[in-house]
Amino acid sequence: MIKITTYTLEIIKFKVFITLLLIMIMGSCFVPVVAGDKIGPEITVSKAGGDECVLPADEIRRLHPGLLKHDRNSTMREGIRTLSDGGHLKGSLKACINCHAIKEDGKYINTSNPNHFCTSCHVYAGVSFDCFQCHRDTPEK
Amino acid sequence: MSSKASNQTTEQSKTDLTKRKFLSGTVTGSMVAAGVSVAPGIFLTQVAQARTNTSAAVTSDVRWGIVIDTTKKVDWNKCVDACNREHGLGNETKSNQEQKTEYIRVVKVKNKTTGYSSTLPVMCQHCETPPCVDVCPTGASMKREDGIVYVDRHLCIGCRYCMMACPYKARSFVHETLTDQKENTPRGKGCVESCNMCVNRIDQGLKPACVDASEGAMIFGDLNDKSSEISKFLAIQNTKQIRADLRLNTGVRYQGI
Amino acid sequence: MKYLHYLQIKGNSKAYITFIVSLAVIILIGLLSVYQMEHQGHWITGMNNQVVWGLPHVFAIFLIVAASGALNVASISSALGKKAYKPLARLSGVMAIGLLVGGLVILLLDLGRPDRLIVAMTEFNFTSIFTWNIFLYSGFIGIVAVYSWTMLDRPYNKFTNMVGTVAFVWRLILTMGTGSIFGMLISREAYDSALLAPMFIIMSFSFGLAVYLLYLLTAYRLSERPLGDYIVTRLRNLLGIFVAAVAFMVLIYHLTFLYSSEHRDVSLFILLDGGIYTSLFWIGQIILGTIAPLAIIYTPSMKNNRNLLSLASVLIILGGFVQLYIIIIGGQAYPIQLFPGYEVTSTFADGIVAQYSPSINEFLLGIAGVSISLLIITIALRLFHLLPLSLEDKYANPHHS
Repeated sequence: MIKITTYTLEIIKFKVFITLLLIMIMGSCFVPVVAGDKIGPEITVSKAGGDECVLPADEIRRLHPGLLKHDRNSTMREGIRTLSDGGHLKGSLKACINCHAIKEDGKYINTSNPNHFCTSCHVYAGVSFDCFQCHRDTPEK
Repeated sequence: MSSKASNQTTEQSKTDLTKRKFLSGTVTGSMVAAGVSVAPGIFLTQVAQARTNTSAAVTSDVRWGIVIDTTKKVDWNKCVDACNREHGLGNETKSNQEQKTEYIRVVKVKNKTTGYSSTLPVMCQHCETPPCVDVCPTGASMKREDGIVYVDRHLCIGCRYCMMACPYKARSFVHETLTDQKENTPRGKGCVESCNMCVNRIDQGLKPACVDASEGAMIFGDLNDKSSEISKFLAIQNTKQIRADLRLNTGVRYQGI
Repeated sequence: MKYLHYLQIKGNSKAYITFIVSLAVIILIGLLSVYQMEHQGHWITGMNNQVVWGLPHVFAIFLIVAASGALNVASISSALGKKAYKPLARLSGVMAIGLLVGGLVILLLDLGRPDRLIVAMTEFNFTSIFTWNIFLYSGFIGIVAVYSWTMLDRPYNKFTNMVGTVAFVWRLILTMGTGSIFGMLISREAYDSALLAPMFIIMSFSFGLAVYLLYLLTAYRLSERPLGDYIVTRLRNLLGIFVAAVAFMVLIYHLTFLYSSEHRDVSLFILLDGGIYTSLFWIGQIILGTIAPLAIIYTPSMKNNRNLLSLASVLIILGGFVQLYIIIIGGQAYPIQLFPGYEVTSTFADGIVAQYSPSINEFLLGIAGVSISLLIITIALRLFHLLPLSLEDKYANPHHS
């Protein structure tokens, strides 16, 4: 006969707790399916600027943080604001916003709106961004 | 051979750009007038008073400065208003008066014994050796090669040490969440900010907003260029720096204080 | 000297558990308050563009200054070779770490962008005293941790004196660094003085020892361990000297300021017509924080009363807090002199004494930092062999026969 001491009881309690925790964590993976969500982000893109951007779309998806960071430094630190042909820098946040901003009910929407170009993807990817604590998130004009 | 050709093309396009900007009127005001009146050789140095090529890094060949003539009876509040409009200031809703941002303010100075008083606008003095840049732990508080002092908000952690260090009280801290900022002046909660001599306007070949609104009482230009209007003014007038005893060699000078 | 037996405290008494739980609750409330502060922005605090550092910084700098002072007890035994302090050295090391961590947490949480801690840890500007302090503070924690380890782990005892000496030198530089945060500011008259660096060192001796003594007396009373007069008398006399030394530094500071005409006004502001700051100076710092504890320490009829000694420590701590309040807040409230000797007015509060009234959020953050310090020290007391089971004179006095 097994003698159940307080110690083994503690162990059993702990195992049950861990099992429940794991079930909860794993179960959470199925939430989107159960909720009927599609896998993959639904990005709201304004096609105002046509199909072309500064780079092919897949590269922008991967590289835009680096682009933005690189060009913000050259603008802030060195005063470089344009390419030699007078065009805007590839990593110009202002240019991104001016081109990709979308309107709802005739008004540009803010990043707090899940349909905002930046928000829609960042929420999906679970990546926070703090650009718009200082930068405006809609075109000025 | 081919590289030389491409070099020429770049040179060509730069010149074109200069011309374009010049013709389209982004270079304006007295600087242009001065440029037109002299011979072609000197013309180039004159044009250097306004920035035209924004694709190359700024250099220390230029040092931007402002001289303020307080003997001219100008309503300095117009300069403050122009500044607030340009940078979208004054949109705080929760901060109290002492917490709100001011880039430029009107200060009244009175000699206690003689009673002589003068009124002058005070903003960031754009020191050559800025204490705010010395004390900043992250390097967010910075001086651009052409002498403009401002905050790189990407690196600012909001420790406010620069505000402790500035002898001119030129810096403000953003005490609340802001929205609807100006495109050219991003600013937000938790960062320190100050007058940036309208760096966005200078880079477009314009003068700072306050200078434009000053009805000629403020002169903006290149302190390193001996033939610029500001240098000529400084050469013949007895101008002063605020707290000259601190030897910060400010980029902003005053006449008549 | 007889063999000393160190042991962790039992930590199952009602007092201990209540203390730990209350500290945890205070920390939790403090964190909630910080969340509100960071979510809303600093407009909910009393800080503004003139008084840019407020009550949290007073708490933080007090803890940081006290941290290096708390290490002194250990330093006296290791670096200066006084055997009598050896039994107290272990607690001293742990207390130094605890106090410093509490102070740093406050500084961090008061930042405008605490989420950018990573920026502060990766982007350095070496002309900034702050940058140097980041290294001094983290280095201090590292060195004192190693130091405490050499004290706790008997085979490594042989390194104690060496590491202890390094820690002693490091802590002196650290406190000079803290003092220099203010001492190197030319912009505000109250700070523009090289005296602040040595003054902060002396202040750390006094505040740190007061915290240490108060904690020691309380811990021995609550854990019902014997604490002999020999060690208490030594610490008490040392504390008296430190308090007097701080008073001397304050005197020198004001004399140098009164002597030079450019600084005279700020000194007169604090001494005579600074309103709240003048009252705080004379009542808080001088009478309660200096004269009263000195009276307790040196009056024969009072000096052997443990409760009065605890009270003296509390007074020194409060007085030190007030002193830092005057330096930090008073120094900022005094107007920046754009035109020395002239009368200056503007819409941006030029030329007038700035108003500052701390909000509850700032107080809660400060108290939470103090609680973090106490929590670390008190839990360490339960985990490690920090305090001797007995500090009766026969154990504590190296000359006891």
